[in-house]
Amino acid sequence: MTFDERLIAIRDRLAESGFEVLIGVHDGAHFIEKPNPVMVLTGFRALGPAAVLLDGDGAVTLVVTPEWDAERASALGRSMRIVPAADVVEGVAVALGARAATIAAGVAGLSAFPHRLARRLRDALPKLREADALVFAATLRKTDEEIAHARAATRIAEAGFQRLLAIARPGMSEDELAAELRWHSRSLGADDNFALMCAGPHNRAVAPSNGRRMQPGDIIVCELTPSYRGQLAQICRTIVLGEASPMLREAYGLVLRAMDAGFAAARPGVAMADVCRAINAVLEAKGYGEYCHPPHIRRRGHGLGFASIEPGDVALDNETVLAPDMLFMIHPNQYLPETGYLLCGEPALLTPNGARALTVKQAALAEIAV
Amino acid sequence: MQTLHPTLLVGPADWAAQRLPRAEYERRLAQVWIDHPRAGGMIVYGDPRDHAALAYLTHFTPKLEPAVALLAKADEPRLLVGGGANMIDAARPLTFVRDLVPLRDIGTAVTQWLESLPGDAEIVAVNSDAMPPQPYLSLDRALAARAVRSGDERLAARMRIKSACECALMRDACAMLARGATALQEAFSRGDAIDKCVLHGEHAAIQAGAQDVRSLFSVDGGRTLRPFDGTTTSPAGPTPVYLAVRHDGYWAETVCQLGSVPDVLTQRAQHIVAMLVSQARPGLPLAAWHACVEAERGPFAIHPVTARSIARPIGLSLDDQPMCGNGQVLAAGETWALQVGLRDAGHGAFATAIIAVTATGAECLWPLR
Repeated sequence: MTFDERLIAIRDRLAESGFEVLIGVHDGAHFIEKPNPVMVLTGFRALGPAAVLLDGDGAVTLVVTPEWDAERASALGRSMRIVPAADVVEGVAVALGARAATIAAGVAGLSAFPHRLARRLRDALPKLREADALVFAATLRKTDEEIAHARAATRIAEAGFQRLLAIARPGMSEDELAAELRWHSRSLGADDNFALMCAGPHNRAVAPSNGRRMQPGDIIVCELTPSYRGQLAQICRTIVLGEASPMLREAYGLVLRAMDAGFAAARPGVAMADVCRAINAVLEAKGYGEYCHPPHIRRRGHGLGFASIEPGDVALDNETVLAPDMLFMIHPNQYLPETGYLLCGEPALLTPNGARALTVKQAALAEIAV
Repeated sequence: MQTLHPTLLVGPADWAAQRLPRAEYERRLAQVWIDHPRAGGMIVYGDPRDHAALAYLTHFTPKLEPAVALLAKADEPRLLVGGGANMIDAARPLTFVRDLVPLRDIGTAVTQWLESLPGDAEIVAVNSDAMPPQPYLSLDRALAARAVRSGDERLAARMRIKSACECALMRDACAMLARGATALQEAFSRGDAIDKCVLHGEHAAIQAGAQDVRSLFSVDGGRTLRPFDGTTTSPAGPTPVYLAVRHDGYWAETVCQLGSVPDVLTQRAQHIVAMLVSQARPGLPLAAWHACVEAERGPFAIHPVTARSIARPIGLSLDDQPMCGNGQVLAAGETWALQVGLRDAGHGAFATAIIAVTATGAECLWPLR
């Protein structure tokens, strides 16, 4: 699927919806778990709050803040009208003109929009109704371009992991390591990196880095998640500063087997929930059933944005049926009482024959000599 | 200046009492209660993008998910931290607040907290309308029986006046910025491509200990600025690069004009900024700065990037609203970022400064002397 084919699919859904216009909004705070309808409909990743208007006839209008960033949007070369605006809501009003007061508009992204903007948007468009599915139902499958970018992001993530193995050492702070890895990924072409990592002898979870200085024997858990041209891919890894204990090796072998079970279960026609069940089953069989639920774990993977986070979480309540060209993380990422939290995970691309990891070298417990 | 917001805030953000003593925060909170004498508590929202007020009152930088401070006039502060119970331990080093609990439903948390406050006490809300609609409504319901007032404006005014330790942190941020700017210039002198120059500048600031680094650069001789997106490898010509560095919450920013000899455009921008700095003193109407730029820009247009923000308060946020020309006057203790951009038909150039307004004039924090 191409970008244009997806746009046509959304336009067709719009025609059937009864809405006269579809509006996508985003506040410019690009978060791994926040879908971005502006990116889906235009490919543009904004500095500030932005909006896109898709008319029934297929015409696209992009409202850009700050005004001076409009030329970057124009350079995308897409067939759309650009409205530079100091204020995104005023920009939408300008784009709609006199139609604003009466037009039947569906909106995507409003639930993540700041209240101060959402309230004004509702005031400006009295007939506004939430319609996220109009945009995101068409994004279950990634476009060819998104898949290519995910492959590039995965290569950067794997190079980042090698960099981590080269530089992580006792005495270095978690913050120093995370900042260096984020910068390293930029030097390889990533435009961002959700570099979530922490270390300790017994991690309760993976959390944002802080100033704690790493010690011999620490277990580093990290999610390296570069974005390449706006498409994220992630690898989840576990590294020991020193020699891993036999217990840790055994535990990590278990979560790897759980991940393998997840990949084996992920096939076209299967519900996402079944992938989660397959992972849980491996851990439950070893007596870790109580650790397969919150607060220890709430999902076994997730979609990969920034544009769309479909097909959603690898979770028991996600009945989305898998299909080729879906892209999502499979990561058991399990807390075990004997070892603490362990990370292993790969970006999975659904093919007609099943899930394929985008990584060249998949997770294995790593050791750094100290 | 607005830059591309990163998906996760990465970098040193721990609270260090030797840099920002607890007494500094007690002073700030005491000012809040002076500003709101009927208030019994204050609710302060912050998220990874918009958390200047939260950092001002708790030092906490929400790196991953939102946080809410519940500040009672007669009790210890509480911080609600997004991300679940397992995020609490990682959050502790980032704040002096000891009562950290997971942020789940804000309405429920606030309802419980209100029970400990006097029934007739007002509640001050800060930055609450930055919340997404659902938690905002939940908070709104929880506060329905209370008198609530916005504390945004008064707190912003307090935040503009910097203490001695805040100025010290801004000087440190400027020193880190200088490291980045020097590395940028060195990379440019070596003939590196523009994106490589930017990366060198960012890396030098990171290695100097920066909490965060942001950048914008030009590939069209300064006509426009753009964020690093990993796709540009064009050779570096004379061009501006915007660099912002954060240290312990406080930002410093500049536009490095890469090129061996300042051109007419750059010289004119530098001349205007020098005039703005020389004029700075308590009582100066902000409109006077705006008039100066208009009078001195000559045949050149104001660059679109700085058209709305030739002068902004700077400190805990890069996105403070432009204030030039709105009738206000400078006050001693304020810190300001001055950015003058000019553009002709084909090029753009910038000059910048950061000043701290003193009793009689201004101390220039940037450029370093």
